[in-house]
Amino acid sequence: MVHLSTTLLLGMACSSTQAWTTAPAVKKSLSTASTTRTSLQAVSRQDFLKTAFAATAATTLTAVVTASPLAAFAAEPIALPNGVTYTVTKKGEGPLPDRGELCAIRFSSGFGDVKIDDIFETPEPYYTRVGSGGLIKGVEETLPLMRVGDRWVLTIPVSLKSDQVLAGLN
Amino acid sequence: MAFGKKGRPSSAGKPRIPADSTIYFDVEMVGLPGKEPELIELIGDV
Repeated sequence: MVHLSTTLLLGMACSSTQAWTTAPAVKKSLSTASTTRTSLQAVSRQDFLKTAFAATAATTLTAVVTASPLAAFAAEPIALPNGVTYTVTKKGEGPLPDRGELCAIRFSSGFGDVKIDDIFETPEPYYTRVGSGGLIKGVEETLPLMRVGDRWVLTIPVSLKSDQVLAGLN
Repeated sequence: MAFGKKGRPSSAGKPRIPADSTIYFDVEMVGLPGKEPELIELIGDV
């Protein structure tokens, strides 16, 4: 191995600098050895990279598919009679709030690419009484439908259909 | 409804919301303090 490396090094030095004049037979031998070694290296490296890439891709794909909360639910928007649409991103199993009850929520809001608010990372959630009017109407009317643990993405239209009040909120 | 035809002027740390904007809200219901079991119910009277 050491001998081969030395030979290759010598060969590279010869071919790059062209300073030495070597006999044709020696040159041919050096060239063949160099080509064989390069070919072996290329194949094994290629195989290694293929295997490594396949393993990494499979692991990453599995992790993404299983970790994504969206994976468990079909991201079908559901339309409420008042014009609000929502998409369930996490399904909770807790109780439903009653009107006037104190509830703790976390939310982020925005329009287009602009973010208005984000309290997902704050130490404390936002406490509000359901139906007290502390939030915009579209959110107020949707909160009584959410169980503890639910996470929904609401799309609030410019104006709600005021004549179609949600039934069963009282 | 969202902020309707008036929109909302900017305030400290909050951008201006143009008129007739459709707003998205990503909301998570994290708790109902009135319906959560009391700590003493969980750990018992020690």
